[in-house]
Amino acid sequence: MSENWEPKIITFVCNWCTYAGADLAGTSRFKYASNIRIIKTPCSGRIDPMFIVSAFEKGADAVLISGCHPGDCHYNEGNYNARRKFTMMKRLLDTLGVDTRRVVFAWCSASEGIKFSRLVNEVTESIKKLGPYTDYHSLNQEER
Amino acid sequence: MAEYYITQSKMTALLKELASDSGMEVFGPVKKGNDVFISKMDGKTELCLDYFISVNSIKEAIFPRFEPILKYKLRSEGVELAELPPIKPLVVFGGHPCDAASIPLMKDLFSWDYKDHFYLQRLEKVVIITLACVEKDENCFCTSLGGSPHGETGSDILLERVSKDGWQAKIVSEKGKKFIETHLDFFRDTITPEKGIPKLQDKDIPVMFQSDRVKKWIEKNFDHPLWEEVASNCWSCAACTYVCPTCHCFDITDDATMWEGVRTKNWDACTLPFFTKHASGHNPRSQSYERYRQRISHKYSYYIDLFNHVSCTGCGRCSRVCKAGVNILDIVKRIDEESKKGEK
Amino acid sequence: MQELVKKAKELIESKEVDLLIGYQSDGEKGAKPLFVKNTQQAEKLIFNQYCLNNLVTYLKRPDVKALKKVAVVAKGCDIRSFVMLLSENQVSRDAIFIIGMTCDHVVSPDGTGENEKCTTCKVHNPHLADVVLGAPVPEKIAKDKPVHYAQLEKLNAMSQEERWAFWQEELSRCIRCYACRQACPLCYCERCIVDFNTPQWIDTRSNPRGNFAWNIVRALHLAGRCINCGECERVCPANIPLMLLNQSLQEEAQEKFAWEAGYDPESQPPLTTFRKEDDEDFIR
Repeated sequence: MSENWEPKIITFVCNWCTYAGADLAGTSRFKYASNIRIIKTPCSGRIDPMFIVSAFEKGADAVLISGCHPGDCHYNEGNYNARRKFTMMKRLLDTLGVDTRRVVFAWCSASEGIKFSRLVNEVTESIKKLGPYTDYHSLNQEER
Repeated sequence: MAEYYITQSKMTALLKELASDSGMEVFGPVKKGNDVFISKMDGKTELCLDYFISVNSIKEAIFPRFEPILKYKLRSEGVELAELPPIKPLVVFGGHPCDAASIPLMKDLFSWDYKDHFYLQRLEKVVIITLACVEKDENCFCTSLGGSPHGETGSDILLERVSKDGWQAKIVSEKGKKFIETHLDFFRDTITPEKGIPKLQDKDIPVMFQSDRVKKWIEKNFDHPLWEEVASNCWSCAACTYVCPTCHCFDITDDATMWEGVRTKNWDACTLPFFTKHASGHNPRSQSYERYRQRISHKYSYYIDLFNHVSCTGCGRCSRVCKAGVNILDIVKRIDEESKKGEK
Repeated sequence: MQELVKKAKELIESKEVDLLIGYQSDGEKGAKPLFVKNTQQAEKLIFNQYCLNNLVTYLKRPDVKALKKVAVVAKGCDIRSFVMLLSENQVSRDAIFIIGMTCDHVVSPDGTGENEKCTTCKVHNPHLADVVLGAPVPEKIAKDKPVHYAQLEKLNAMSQEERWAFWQEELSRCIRCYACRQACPLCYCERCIVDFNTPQWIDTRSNPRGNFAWNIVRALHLAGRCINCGECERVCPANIPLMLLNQSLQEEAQEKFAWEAGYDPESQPPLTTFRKEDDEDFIR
C-alpha cells in the first residue's frame, strides 16, 4: 500500500433524505472526508445490488449505501423493500467471502447532516485501516 | 528408431517443471469431485493420472474461452494501440485420440476465409501429448467417424500404456520428436511391458452408423418431425458445445471505459437462445430443437461441404454432460436408420 | 408404472392435453425427459428413483407456453417450483395438469445412495396436483420445522478469507454455458441480465470478474424463490457447488423472514413484500 493511498468509497444515496442530509452537512460546514463519491438515486429502493458489484469491479474499496429512515420514505415503502434486498445481498456477499466490512448500510435523514459527516468519516477511517480492496480488484483479468 | 518410455512419476515431474516456467503454458488433467478437467497448471497443481476421460476437451488450451484481440488507449493525440499478451509455447497433456483428432478440423476452419493468427500461432507452438484409450463407455463412437482409440491424428506424441506405472511414447510429429529430445532425461527409463494391461482395439468400439448416409438424410429433411422428437428436451444451454472439441463459434465483445478498451474473442454457442436473435426481435431459430438441429446439421452436413470432413470426433462428451438427456449418438443413429429406410 | 401410462393415455386420447412431459428410462440406472404427444409414446413413460430432472422447467419455454394445456409429471419438490411459478403469475393454473408422484427419495446425481435434497424434503406426497399417483409415503419432517442444510456448515465455519479463496477456486472452472440458468425452473426471464449489453452489467467473458458477477446475480435473483431442487448444481458441467449459494439464501429467508418457498401459491415471496419490524441490525 503506497503511503498516500486514499480509499475510494462509492456512495449510493436516495434523493430525498440522505442526499439532502449530505447537502445539509455541506451548508452547515461540517467537515467530512473527501473519499466518497456520491451517486444520487431516486430512492434506496432503486439501488440494485448489482451497483455494489459494479462499484467493486471498477475499483471501489468500499460501498456506502444510505436512504431514508423506515417510515420516512418519500415513496412510503421503497426503503422497506430495499432493506429486504440488502439483507439478502449482504448474506450472499458474506457467503461468497466478500469482505462485508466494506459494504456499509445506513439510514440518514435530511436533518442529519451531522450524522452523515460522522458516518463518512468513520467509514473512511475503517477502510483506511483495511487498505485497498486488492482481492476484488485482482479479478479484472483480460487474458486467461 | 529408438524406443521411448516414460513413467507416471516422471511425467508428473516433467509437467510440473514446465508449468513452473512462466514463459510456458501447461495444461493437464486435474480432478474435481468425481470428474477430471483438462486445466491450466502451475507448479503446484495436483495432477490426476487415473481417469477415463476428461469432462472438457483439450480445445480450450488452444482456443481459449476468451482472448484479447485488440487493446487501445485514448490519448489527447489520438488512439494508441496497446500491445497484446504474447502467445506462449504450450504443452497439452491428457487428451485422448478423439481430442487430438479435432486439431486438423479446427485448423481447416481457422485458416479458411480468414486466417485466425491467434489460433494458428498457438497451434504452431503447441505440443499435444495424447493418451491412447484403455477404457470406453456407451457414449464413445470414434470408430464410426474414422477415428481410433489409439489414433495418431493431431497428436505430437502418443502415449500407449504398457505397465501400471508407465507408457511407451510414440513420436508422431517433428514437434513431438523435438520435445522428447529436449526432455530426454524424462524419457530414458525402459519399461518392460506388463501382461494384463488393458488395451483398446478398434473393434472394441463398433462402427454404429455411416456418416455419408447421415449427411444425405440431413440434406433432404430440414423440416422432418424427427428433429422435434429427438431434441425437444434440449433446454438450450451451451454445455455440449463448450465441452466439444470441434465446436468453434465465438463472439466479439468490447469492454471499454472512456479512455481505454479491450476487444475480446469470446466463446459462443449455437445452442444458446440468443445466438441467432436479430435486432428486430425475430429469431430464426426460436425453438430449442431448431438450435439442436443446427448443431447436428453443421457437424454432419454443412461442414463436410466446406472441408470434406465430419466436424465430430465421436468423443461423446456432449452426451455425457447433457442432463436433459440429449444424446448425439442416439440421434445420429436414428437419422442413419431413417436414411437406410429411405434408400430401400 | 401402469397407473401413469394409463393416465397419460387417457389425457392424450381425450385431447385434454396437447403435450405430456414425463420421464423415460435412460440406460439401466437413469431416466431422462420424454415429450409425449401420442399414446404410443406414452408407453415409454416411467417413474422411479432415477427421475431426477425437474420437468417443471419446460413450462417456461415459449413453445410449451403456447400450447392450450400441458401435463407434467412432477415430484413434490418439482411441484414447489410450480407453486412459485403460480405465485409469480408465470403460468395459468388451468393450462397445466400436474400428475403428482409420491416419492420416497431420488438417487444422488452420481447415482449412489439417497439424494441429499431428499433428507430435507417435506413433500414426499405432492401438495398440489390434479392427480396423485403412487402409494402414500410417510412425511419425515414437520411442515413448520426450519430446514437445516448440513453442507452449509463447513462453509459457514470458514473465515471470510477462506471462503473467498474457496469460491475463486470453484468459480474458476465456470465456462459460462448457462446450464444452471437453462435448467432452473425459476430462471424464466425472456432476456437474462447477462444478455444485456447497454449497459453491460456482467462481463460475458469467463474470467474471474465475469464468473463472480454472474454467480452473484444468478443466486441473488433466486433469493427467496429457490426451492432446493438442486438442478443447477446437478447440470453444471464444471461441478461447481452452486446449491451452497442458494441454500445460504434459503437459510437467510427462513431466519429473517420465516419463509420457505413453494408451499403456498397464495403467500407472497419475501422480496415482493416487507414487514415494518424486519430485522435491520446491519444498518447503521
